[in-house]
Amino acid sequence: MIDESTNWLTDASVTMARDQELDREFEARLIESSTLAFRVAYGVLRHREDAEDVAQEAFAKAYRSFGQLRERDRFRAWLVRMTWRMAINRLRSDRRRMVREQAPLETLSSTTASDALAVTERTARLWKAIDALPDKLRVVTVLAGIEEHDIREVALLLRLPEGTVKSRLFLARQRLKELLQ
Amino acid sequence: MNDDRLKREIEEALAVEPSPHFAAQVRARVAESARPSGVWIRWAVPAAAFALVALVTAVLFLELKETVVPKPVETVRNAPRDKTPKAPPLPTAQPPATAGPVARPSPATAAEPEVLFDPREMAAFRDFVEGVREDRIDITKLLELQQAAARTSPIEEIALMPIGDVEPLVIESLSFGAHRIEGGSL
Repeated sequence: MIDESTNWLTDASVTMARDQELDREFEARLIESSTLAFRVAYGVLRHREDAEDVAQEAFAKAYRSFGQLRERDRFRAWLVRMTWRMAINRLRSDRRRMVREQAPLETLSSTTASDALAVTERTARLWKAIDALPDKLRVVTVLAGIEEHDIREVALLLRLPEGTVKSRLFLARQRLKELLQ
Repeated sequence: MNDDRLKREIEEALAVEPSPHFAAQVRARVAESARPSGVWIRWAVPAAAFALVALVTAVLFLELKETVVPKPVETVRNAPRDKTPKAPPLPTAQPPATAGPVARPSPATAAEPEVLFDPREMAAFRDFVEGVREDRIDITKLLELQQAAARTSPIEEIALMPIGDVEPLVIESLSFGAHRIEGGSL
Protein backbone atom coordinates (compact mmCIF):
# COMPACT_ATOMS: atom_id res chain seq x y z
CA MET A 1 0.00 0.00 0.00
CA ILE A 2 2.77 2.41 0.92
CA ASP A 3 4.66 1.42 -2.20
CA GLU A 4 1.60 2.13 -4.32
CA SER A 5 1.18 5.56 -2.74
CA THR A 6 4.83 6.34 -3.28
CA ASN A 7 4.60 5.24 -6.89
CA TRP A 8 1.52 7.34 -7.40
CA LEU A 9 3.18 10.41 -5.95
CA THR A 10 6.20 9.80 -8.12
CA ASP A 11 4.03 9.46 -11.20
CA ALA A 12 2.09 12.58 -10.29
CA SER A 13 5.25 14.61 -9.83
CA VAL A 14 6.57 13.33 -13.15
CA THR A 15 3.29 14.26 -14.82
CA MET A 16 3.36 17.73 -13.30
CA ALA A 17 6.94 18.24 -14.40
CA ARG A 18 5.99 17.13 -17.90
CA ASP A 19 3.07 19.58 -17.93
CA GLN A 20 5.37 22.40 -16.88
CA GLU A 21 7.80 21.47 -19.63
CA LEU A 22 4.94 21.49 -22.13
CA ASP A 23 3.86 24.92 -20.90
CA ARG A 24 7.37 26.26 -21.38
CA GLU A 25 7.53 24.86 -24.91
CA PHE A 26 4.13 26.28 -25.72
CA GLU A 27 5.19 29.70 -24.51
CA ALA A 28 8.16 29.53 -26.87
CA ARG A 29 5.88 28.54 -29.77
CA LEU A 30 3.50 31.35 -28.86
CA ILE A 31 6.24 33.97 -28.97
CA GLU A 32 7.56 32.56 -32.22
CA SER A 33 4.29 32.05 -34.12
CA SER A 34 1.74 34.53 -32.78
CA THR A 35 2.40 37.12 -35.51
CA LEU A 36 2.29 34.41 -38.17
CA ALA A 37 -1.14 33.24 -37.01
CA PHE A 38 -2.42 36.80 -36.81
CA ARG A 39 -1.22 37.64 -40.34
CA VAL A 40 -2.71 34.46 -41.79
CA ALA A 41 -6.06 35.39 -40.28
CA TYR A 42 -5.65 38.98 -41.38
CA GLY A 43 -4.92 37.84 -44.93
CA VAL A 44 -8.40 36.34 -45.02
CA LEU A 45 -10.41 38.71 -42.85
CA ARG A 46 -8.49 42.00 -43.17
CA HIS A 47 -10.04 43.07 -39.92
CA ARG A 48 -7.61 43.50 -37.06
CA GLU A 49 -9.89 42.56 -34.14
CA ASP A 50 -11.41 39.61 -35.96
CA ALA A 51 -7.98 38.37 -36.99
CA GLU A 52 -6.74 38.58 -33.41
CA ASP A 53 -9.78 36.75 -32.16
CA VAL A 54 -9.36 33.94 -34.67
CA ALA A 55 -5.66 33.63 -33.91
CA GLN A 56 -6.35 33.45 -30.18
CA GLU A 57 -8.88 30.71 -30.74
CA ALA A 58 -6.42 28.79 -32.88
CA PHE A 59 -3.78 29.02 -30.17
CA ALA A 60 -6.27 27.80 -27.57
CA LYS A 61 -6.99 24.76 -29.74
CA ALA A 62 -3.30 24.21 -30.29
CA TYR A 63 -2.71 24.28 -26.54
CA ARG A 64 -5.23 21.50 -25.99
CA SER A 65 -3.44 19.33 -28.54
CA PHE A 66 0.07 20.46 -27.79
CA GLY A 67 1.11 16.98 -26.67
CA GLN A 68 0.99 15.90 -30.32
CA LEU A 69 2.29 19.21 -31.70
CA ARG A 70 5.55 19.67 -29.85
CA GLU A 71 7.68 19.58 -32.97
CA ARG A 72 8.30 23.11 -34.23
CA ASP A 73 7.54 22.60 -37.93
CA ARG A 74 4.59 20.41 -37.14
CA PHE A 75 3.20 23.06 -34.77
CA ARG A 76 3.59 25.91 -37.23
CA ALA A 77 2.03 23.94 -40.07
CA TRP A 78 -0.90 22.88 -37.92
CA LEU A 79 -1.35 26.45 -36.63
CA VAL A 80 -1.32 27.96 -40.13
CA ARG A 81 -3.81 25.49 -41.55
CA MET A 82 -6.09 25.76 -38.52
CA THR A 83 -5.99 29.56 -38.53
CA TRP A 84 -6.68 29.71 -42.24
CA ARG A 85 -9.64 27.36 -41.95
CA MET A 86 -11.08 29.20 -38.97
CA ALA A 87 -10.66 32.55 -40.71
CA ILE A 88 -12.43 31.25 -43.81
CA ASN A 89 -15.25 29.97 -41.64
CA ARG A 90 -15.46 33.31 -39.84
CA LEU A 91 -15.57 35.15 -43.14
CA ARG A 92 -18.30 32.94 -44.53
CA SER A 93 -20.37 33.34 -41.39
CA ASP A 94 -20.00 37.10 -41.51
CA ARG A 95 -20.54 37.88 -45.15
CA ARG A 96 -22.65 40.89 -44.41
CA ARG A 97 -19.77 42.78 -42.90
CA MET A 98 -18.71 45.02 -45.77
CA VAL A 99 -16.51 47.46 -43.96
CA ARG A 100 -13.02 46.12 -43.71
CA GLU A 101 -10.00 47.69 -42.31
CA GLN A 102 -7.82 49.26 -44.91
CA ALA A 103 -4.13 48.57 -45.22
CA PRO A 104 -2.17 50.18 -42.40
CA LEU A 105 -0.69 53.40 -43.60
CA GLU A 106 1.93 53.51 -40.88
CA THR A 107 3.79 50.61 -42.49
CA LEU A 108 4.13 52.37 -45.79
CA SER A 109 6.77 54.87 -46.65
CA SER A 110 4.49 57.46 -48.20
CA THR A 111 4.21 60.68 -46.29
CA THR A 112 2.08 62.95 -48.34
CA ALA A 113 -1.70 62.73 -48.47
CA SER A 114 -1.80 62.09 -52.18
CA ASP A 115 0.73 59.32 -51.89
CA ALA A 116 -1.22 57.80 -49.00
CA LEU A 117 -4.40 57.88 -51.01
CA ALA A 118 -2.65 56.26 -53.96
CA VAL A 119 -1.25 53.52 -51.77
CA THR A 120 -4.66 52.93 -50.21
CA GLU A 121 -6.29 52.61 -53.59
CA ARG A 122 -3.58 50.31 -54.85
CA THR A 123 -3.79 48.11 -51.78
CA ALA A 124 -7.54 47.89 -52.08
CA ARG A 125 -7.20 46.78 -55.69
CA LEU A 126 -4.59 44.24 -54.67
CA TRP A 127 -6.82 42.72 -51.99
CA LYS A 128 -9.72 42.65 -54.39
CA ALA A 129 -7.59 40.71 -56.83
CA ILE A 130 -6.36 38.34 -54.12
CA ASP A 131 -9.94 37.74 -53.00
CA ALA A 132 -10.82 36.79 -56.55
CA LEU A 133 -8.27 33.96 -56.55
CA PRO A 134 -9.32 30.38 -55.86
CA ASP A 135 -8.65 29.26 -52.33
CA LYS A 136 -5.69 27.05 -53.26
CA LEU A 137 -3.93 29.92 -55.02
CA ARG A 138 -4.87 32.49 -52.40
CA VAL A 139 -3.35 30.60 -49.50
CA VAL A 140 0.02 30.16 -51.20
CA THR A 141 -0.01 33.84 -52.16
CA VAL A 142 -0.71 34.97 -48.60
CA LEU A 143 1.79 32.59 -47.00
CA ALA A 144 4.49 33.57 -49.47
CA GLY A 145 3.84 37.23 -48.62
CA ILE A 146 4.24 36.71 -44.86
CA GLU A 147 7.66 36.91 -43.24
CA GLU A 148 9.36 36.43 -46.62
CA HIS A 149 8.51 32.73 -46.71
CA ASP A 150 10.15 30.95 -49.60
CA ILE A 151 8.65 28.05 -51.54
CA ARG A 152 10.16 25.44 -49.25
CA GLU A 153 8.69 27.04 -46.12
CA VAL A 154 5.27 27.42 -47.76
CA ALA A 155 5.44 23.76 -48.78
CA LEU A 156 6.26 22.81 -45.19
CA LEU A 157 3.41 24.89 -43.79
CA LEU A 158 0.85 23.49 -46.22
CA ARG A 159 2.36 20.00 -46.31
CA LEU A 160 2.48 20.10 -50.06
CA PRO A 161 5.27 19.21 -52.50
CA GLU A 162 7.49 22.13 -53.36
CA GLY A 163 6.70 21.71 -57.06
CA THR A 164 2.99 22.07 -56.35
CA VAL A 165 3.57 25.24 -54.34
CA LYS A 166 5.84 26.64 -57.04
CA SER A 167 3.32 26.06 -59.81
CA ARG A 168 0.43 27.41 -57.74
CA LEU A 169 2.41 30.50 -56.80
CA PHE A 170 3.34 31.12 -60.44
CA LEU A 171 -0.26 30.73 -61.52
CA ALA A 172 -1.49 33.01 -58.75
CA ARG A 173 0.91 35.79 -59.68
CA GLN A 174 -0.03 35.53 -63.32
CA ARG A 175 -3.69 35.97 -62.46
CA LEU A 176 -2.94 38.83 -60.09
CA LYS A 177 -0.99 40.66 -62.74
CA GLU A 178 -3.83 40.22 -65.18
CA LEU A 179 -6.33 41.49 -62.66
CA LEU A 180 -4.24 44.46 -61.60
CA GLN A 181 -3.50 45.73 -65.11
CA MET B 1 3.87 44.96 -63.13
CA ASN B 2 6.73 42.53 -62.65
CA ASP B 3 6.96 39.71 -60.13
CA ASP B 4 9.22 41.54 -57.70
CA ARG B 5 6.96 44.55 -57.46
CA LEU B 6 3.89 42.36 -57.01
CA LYS B 7 5.63 40.35 -54.35
CA ARG B 8 6.71 43.52 -52.54
CA GLU B 9 3.21 44.95 -52.61
CA ILE B 10 1.74 41.75 -51.20
CA GLU B 11 4.33 41.71 -48.44
CA GLU B 12 3.57 45.35 -47.61
CA ALA B 13 -0.15 44.60 -47.51
CA LEU B 14 0.44 41.73 -45.11
CA ALA B 15 2.98 43.54 -42.92
CA VAL B 16 0.39 44.15 -40.25
CA GLU B 17 1.35 43.85 -36.61
CA PRO B 18 -1.09 42.66 -33.99
CA SER B 19 -1.95 44.89 -31.08
CA PRO B 20 0.51 45.07 -28.17
CA HIS B 21 -1.91 43.16 -25.97
CA PHE B 22 -2.29 40.30 -28.42
CA ALA B 23 0.16 37.93 -26.74
CA ALA B 24 -1.38 38.58 -23.33
CA GLN B 25 -4.83 37.97 -24.76
CA VAL B 26 -3.68 34.70 -26.27
CA ARG B 27 -2.29 33.61 -22.89
CA ALA B 28 -5.57 34.52 -21.23
CA ARG B 29 -7.54 32.57 -23.85
CA VAL B 30 -5.26 29.59 -23.42
CA ALA B 31 -5.65 29.73 -19.65
CA GLU B 32 -9.42 29.66 -20.07
CA SER B 33 -9.22 26.44 -22.04
CA ALA B 34 -6.61 24.73 -19.93
CA ARG B 35 -5.29 21.40 -21.08
CA PRO B 36 -6.78 18.43 -19.16
CA SER B 37 -4.32 17.53 -16.48
CA GLY B 38 -2.63 14.14 -16.54
CA VAL B 39 -2.89 13.97 -12.76
CA TRP B 40 -6.64 14.32 -12.98
CA ILE B 41 -6.80 11.55 -15.56
CA ARG B 42 -4.71 9.32 -13.33
CA TRP B 43 -7.22 9.90 -10.54
CA ALA B 44 -10.32 9.60 -12.67
CA VAL B 45 -9.61 6.24 -14.26
CA PRO B 46 -9.02 4.25 -11.02
CA ALA B 47 -11.88 6.06 -9.31
CA ALA B 48 -14.27 5.16 -12.12
CA ALA B 49 -13.07 1.55 -12.07
CA PHE B 50 -13.51 1.33 -8.30
CA ALA B 51 -17.00 2.80 -8.51
CA LEU B 52 -17.93 0.32 -11.22
CA VAL B 53 -16.66 -2.65 -9.19
CA ALA B 54 -18.50 -1.44 -6.10
CA LEU B 55 -21.71 -1.05 -8.07
CA VAL B 56 -21.46 -4.52 -9.60
CA THR B 57 -20.69 -6.05 -6.19
CA ALA B 58 -23.69 -4.35 -4.61
CA VAL B 59 -26.00 -5.51 -7.38
CA LEU B 60 -24.75 -9.10 -7.16
CA PHE B 61 -25.10 -9.08 -3.37
CA LEU B 62 -28.68 -7.85 -3.54
CA GLU B 63 -29.58 -10.40 -6.20
CA LEU B 64 -28.05 -13.21 -4.15
CA LYS B 65 -29.96 -12.10 -1.10
CA GLU B 66 -33.22 -12.07 -2.98
CA THR B 67 -32.51 -15.55 -4.32
CA VAL B 68 -32.04 -17.02 -0.82
CA VAL B 69 -35.29 -15.52 0.45
CA PRO B 70 -37.60 -15.73 -2.53
CA LYS B 71 -40.93 -15.12 -0.80
CA PRO B 72 -42.14 -13.95 2.60
CA VAL B 73 -43.02 -17.40 3.91
CA GLU B 74 -42.67 -17.92 7.61
CA THR B 75 -39.85 -20.31 8.23
CA VAL B 76 -38.14 -21.49 11.29
CA ARG B 77 -34.78 -20.19 10.17
CA ASN B 78 -35.80 -16.72 9.06
CA ALA B 79 -38.48 -15.84 11.52
CA PRO B 80 -37.17 -13.38 14.09
CA ARG B 81 -38.84 -13.58 17.43
CA ASP B 82 -39.60 -9.94 17.80
CA LYS B 83 -41.09 -9.59 14.34
CA THR B 84 -43.58 -12.41 14.66
CA PRO B 85 -47.11 -11.13 14.32
CA LYS B 86 -49.37 -11.61 17.22
CA ALA B 87 -51.42 -14.72 16.74
CA PRO B 88 -55.15 -14.67 16.90
CA PRO B 89 -56.56 -16.43 19.97
CA LEU B 90 -56.83 -20.10 19.45
CA PRO B 91 -59.97 -21.86 20.54
CA THR B 92 -58.17 -24.39 22.74
CA ALA B 93 -55.25 -24.36 25.10
CA GLN B 94 -51.87 -24.43 23.49
CA PRO B 95 -50.95 -28.02 23.01
CA PRO B 96 -47.38 -28.81 23.93
CA ALA B 97 -47.44 -31.54 21.35
CA THR B 98 -46.79 -28.98 18.65
CA ALA B 99 -43.58 -28.00 20.34
CA GLY B 100 -41.70 -30.95 18.99
CA PRO B 101 -40.72 -29.91 15.52
CA VAL B 102 -40.70 -26.16 16.21
CA ALA B 103 -38.55 -25.88 19.27
CA ARG B 104 -35.45 -27.25 17.71
CA PRO B 105 -34.35 -25.11 14.78
CA SER B 106 -31.90 -27.05 12.81
CA PRO B 107 -28.89 -25.42 11.16
CA ALA B 108 -30.26 -26.20 7.75
CA THR B 109 -28.53 -24.91 4.73
CA ALA B 110 -30.18 -23.15 1.85
CA ALA B 111 -30.11 -26.34 -0.19
CA GLU B 112 -32.25 -28.28 2.23
CA PRO B 113 -36.02 -28.17 1.89
CA GLU B 114 -37.59 -25.59 4.10
CA VAL B 115 -40.07 -26.66 6.72
CA LEU B 116 -43.14 -24.50 6.68
CA PHE B 117 -45.36 -23.80 9.67
CA ASP B 118 -48.51 -21.93 10.20
CA PRO B 119 -47.47 -18.56 11.60
CA ARG B 120 -50.37 -18.61 14.01
CA GLU B 121 -49.25 -21.88 15.52
CA MET B 122 -45.68 -20.59 15.85
CA ALA B 123 -46.84 -17.40 17.49
CA ALA B 124 -49.04 -19.28 19.88
CA PHE B 125 -46.27 -21.62 20.88
CA ARG B 126 -43.88 -18.73 21.42
CA ASP B 127 -46.45 -16.98 23.54
CA PHE B 128 -46.80 -20.11 25.58
CA VAL B 129 -43.06 -20.50 26.10
CA GLU B 130 -42.62 -16.84 26.96
CA GLY B 131 -45.57 -17.03 29.32
CA VAL B 132 -43.95 -19.93 31.13
CA ARG B 133 -40.64 -18.10 31.32
CA GLU B 134 -42.24 -14.92 32.59
CA ASP B 135 -44.42 -16.86 35.07
CA ARG B 136 -47.58 -15.68 33.42
CA ILE B 137 -48.67 -19.26 32.85
CA ASP B 138 -48.74 -21.72 35.72
CA ILE B 139 -47.80 -25.12 34.45
CA THR B 140 -47.90 -26.83 37.83
CA LYS B 141 -51.39 -28.00 37.11
CA LEU B 142 -50.25 -29.32 33.84
CA LEU B 143 -47.47 -31.20 35.60
CA GLU B 144 -49.91 -32.52 38.17
CA LEU B 145 -52.18 -33.73 35.43
CA GLN B 146 -49.24 -35.43 33.82
CA GLN B 147 -48.26 -37.10 37.11
CA ALA B 148 -51.85 -38.13 37.82
CA ALA B 149 -52.08 -39.64 34.40
CA ALA B 150 -48.92 -41.59 35.13
CA ARG B 151 -50.39 -42.91 38.39
CA THR B 152 -53.60 -44.27 36.92
CA SER B 153 -53.76 -47.94 36.23
CA PRO B 154 -53.24 -48.94 32.72
CA ILE B 155 -56.29 -49.66 30.70
CA GLU B 156 -57.08 -53.28 30.49
CA GLU B 157 -56.81 -54.88 27.20
CA ILE B 158 -60.03 -55.24 25.32
CA ALA B 159 -61.06 -58.81 25.41
CA LEU B 160 -62.76 -59.99 22.33
CA MET B 161 -65.84 -62.02 22.82
CA PRO B 162 -65.39 -65.52 21.57
CA ILE B 163 -67.47 -66.32 18.60
CA GLY B 164 -67.78 -70.02 19.20
CA ASP B 165 -71.38 -69.74 20.48
CA VAL B 166 -72.73 -68.29 17.36
CA GLU B 167 -74.31 -70.78 15.06
CA PRO B 168 -73.03 -70.79 11.59
CA LEU B 169 -75.23 -69.41 8.89
CA VAL B 170 -77.14 -71.93 6.89
CA ILE B 171 -77.91 -71.14 3.36
CA GLU B 172 -81.03 -72.76 2.21
CA SER B 173 -81.36 -74.06 -1.27
CA LEU B 174 -83.51 -72.14 -3.67
CA SER B 175 -86.87 -73.66 -4.62
CA PHE B 176 -88.17 -72.45 -7.94
CA GLY B 177 -91.55 -74.10 -7.44
CA ALA B 178 -92.45 -71.74 -4.68
CA HIS B 179 -92.34 -68.78 -7.02
CA ARG B 180 -94.64 -67.86 -9.82
CA ILE B 181 -93.06 -66.83 -12.93
CA GLU B 182 -94.94 -64.19 -14.76
CA GLY B 183 -94.85 -63.39 -18.44
CA GLY B 184 -94.20 -66.90 -19.87
CA SER B 185 -91.90 -69.81 -19.33
CA LEU B 186 -88.14 -69.81 -19.11
